Amino acid sequence: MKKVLVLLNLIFALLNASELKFATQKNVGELNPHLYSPNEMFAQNMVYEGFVAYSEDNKIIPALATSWDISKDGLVYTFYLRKGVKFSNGEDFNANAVKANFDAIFANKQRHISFALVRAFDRLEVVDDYTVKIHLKHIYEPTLRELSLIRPFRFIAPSAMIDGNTKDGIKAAIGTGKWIFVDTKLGVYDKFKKNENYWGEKAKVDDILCKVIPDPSTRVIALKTGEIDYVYGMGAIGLEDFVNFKDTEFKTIISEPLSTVLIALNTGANVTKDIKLRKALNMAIDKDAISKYVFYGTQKRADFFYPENVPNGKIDRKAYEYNPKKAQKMLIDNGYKLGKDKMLYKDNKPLEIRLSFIGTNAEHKAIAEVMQSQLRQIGINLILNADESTIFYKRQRTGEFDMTFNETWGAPYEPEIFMASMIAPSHADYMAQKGLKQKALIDSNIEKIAQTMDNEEKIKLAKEILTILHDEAVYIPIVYTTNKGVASPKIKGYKSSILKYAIPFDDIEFEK
Amino acid sequence: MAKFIIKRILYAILCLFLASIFIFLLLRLNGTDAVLNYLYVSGIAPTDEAINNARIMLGLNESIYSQYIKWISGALRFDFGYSYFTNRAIGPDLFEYLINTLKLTSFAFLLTLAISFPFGILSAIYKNRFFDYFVRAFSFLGVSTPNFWLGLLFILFFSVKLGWLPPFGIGGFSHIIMPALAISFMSIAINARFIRVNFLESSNERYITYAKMRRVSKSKIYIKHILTNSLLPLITAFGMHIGELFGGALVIENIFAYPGVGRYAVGAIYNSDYPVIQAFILMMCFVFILINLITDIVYVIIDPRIKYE
Repeated sequence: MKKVLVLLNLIFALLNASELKFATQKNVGELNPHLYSPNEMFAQNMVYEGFVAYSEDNKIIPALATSWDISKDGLVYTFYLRKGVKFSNGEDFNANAVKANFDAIFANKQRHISFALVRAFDRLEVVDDYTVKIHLKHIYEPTLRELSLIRPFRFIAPSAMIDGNTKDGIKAAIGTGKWIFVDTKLGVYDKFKKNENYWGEKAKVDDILCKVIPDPSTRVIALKTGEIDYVYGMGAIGLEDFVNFKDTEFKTIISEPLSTVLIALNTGANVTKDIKLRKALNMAIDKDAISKYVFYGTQKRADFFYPENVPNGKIDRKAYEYNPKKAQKMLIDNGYKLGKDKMLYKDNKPLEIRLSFIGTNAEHKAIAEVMQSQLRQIGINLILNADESTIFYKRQRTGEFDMTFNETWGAPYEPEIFMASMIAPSHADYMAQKGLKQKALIDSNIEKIAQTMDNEEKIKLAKEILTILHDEAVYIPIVYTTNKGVASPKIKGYKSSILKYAIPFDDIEFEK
Repeated sequence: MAKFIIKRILYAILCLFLASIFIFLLLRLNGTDAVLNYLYVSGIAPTDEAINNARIMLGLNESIYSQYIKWISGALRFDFGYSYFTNRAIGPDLFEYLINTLKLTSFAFLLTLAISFPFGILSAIYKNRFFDYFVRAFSFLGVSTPNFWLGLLFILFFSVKLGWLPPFGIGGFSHIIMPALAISFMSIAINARFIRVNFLESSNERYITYAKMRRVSKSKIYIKHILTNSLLPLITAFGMHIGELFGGALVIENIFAYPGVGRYAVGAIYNSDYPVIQAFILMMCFVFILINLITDIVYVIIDPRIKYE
């Protein structure tokens, strides 16, 4: 009788098992928490957790650490670990597991060297089973935010490492997260199941099947035929298709602004070193038209370096107005002459500016073409350099551009962690700002931000940098990016995330 | 005959060797830098230090000559190295994807044979009648329709409207029907027209007139005399179609989310994943060279008038 009941229970459970079918571009990889491509960030975020997490309202919140202290000198971070947490294979999460993970991360230090925290890290001390201390070599204020990133500071079960290391791969993807990675088929799918022993609130669907569908048009069909229930993410489906879904039974969601698409102007280049030209360019681009015609209104015009929801990202300045006539007059007053062909000339040379972008990036190409047409109207010849991706990156590194596409990184990198990249000579922002007389001040402010624990001081320094960049018209902000999602009428509980690479699956459930 | 075949095989090996050098140099000397792509895709800032580390890790710090020797000696043992982006061994992945593509292209090839032959022959037999006009219109449409567009139309009609066939992915036979039709459509159109022309040309030969005069039955004339004699040029055409079908799979596999070599290669090209691109192109060269080899051998078997030299 007992066996029959168990069997009936099993059948009942199977009948009620809910599987969310989601479309992905590629397999999620082996899901090593400490490595990068091909490990997909959204999936790493499903399986692994860190000490802390980043909340939707831009705050650091507890995750595997319930609380933490920062020493007065800002050099020691003490984390009090959550008790009773187990990895999905039943192994205990404790200070030894933390130590094993930090050892594995730092055994492969060179791979993570671009993280300032890795450079500032001195050692990890195990105080007791549930307390660890991170000692830093120097103050690094965004430490907690870097620890909240999806990689590399997340924890895998030590027994899943290969000889105590993760640099050459892992035995299995065993984390403490809400989801367990159970199966994969090359080029076909990846499967996750709910972690029934999760320490916090459990997920609402039993399984997630991530089907590999690289083509956005095919994803639209898959949604319509019920082969998938949900798509989410940047470029997950074409914008026109996304807009068309609005008038159907399917539900669409758009996230808050996540990052900014910017055109960086090279202040050291021959033509764009002229501040009046940079200001004129800022005034000559009709961003509303770009938002409307390129992005179908799904991404709003950007007036500033950061969207309003970025903490400490707001500055006390007015946006550059869209006024092409005034922009042209500014240039004529600055020595340019209007030729018979209605193009601007100086010393008999036409005003030509080169814009570099990745030729296969359809959105950037469309923006570039709109800009080309708009600048032509005031007499500027915008030459489009549709580069192969590595040539584009090479130009950014070496500063061989007048104008180039750039994008901020989104939460939790903003504003300070992203700004920190501006001091690296290999970065496009460094190259764009190199010609500014205030470049030394910008760099020194960035270094000070990372090394001050005084919040007021930090805000002041960040605003000073952003104000200089705005006043000097180093960038043309174009649009604020968003993540888009389309959900089948069968499901509810989906929402967007402030984190660009996280997909909030946890509250999704099927309509009864 | 044996001497001819051995000579042709040696020639094929030489071609493959030259192709391998060409592929290798093309990727290294085209001005792109896989290291930068690798770092960007991985989300690692391209500092000088990160670039140097990645270059060493990917083995791109060595001289081109040494890189080539390492690669080709591995390839001879079917070891194509590891993908820069998935960090997985390429050989087994390529094999798994290739099996899927072979299923798709074989079925597409069978479709090409099964449809183009009756279309071409009947169109020739019923010259300037309704069926002939239909086949000619079909051929015109077939050569001018892009296969990716056709693929999407098929999905919209057979999956979304009628719900008869699965729109994408891999599974049973039903998953292969639409992508195979989409990639074979152009080959069917070209072949049907080609067969028709050959059939008509052979029909006008003097020996056919004599056969008619000898009152040989119509079916015997069509099958034994006209068809066998118009087969020879078709063998070359069919050989080329196999290559075309593989090429078509590059695009179609992406549209139908079909896990084949085409999709594997497109992803690799997008990421400048040199080892995967090299393995894929070498495999394609091998397929083309092998088809040419088989075509040449079949040629001399069918028509003894062709000399082995």
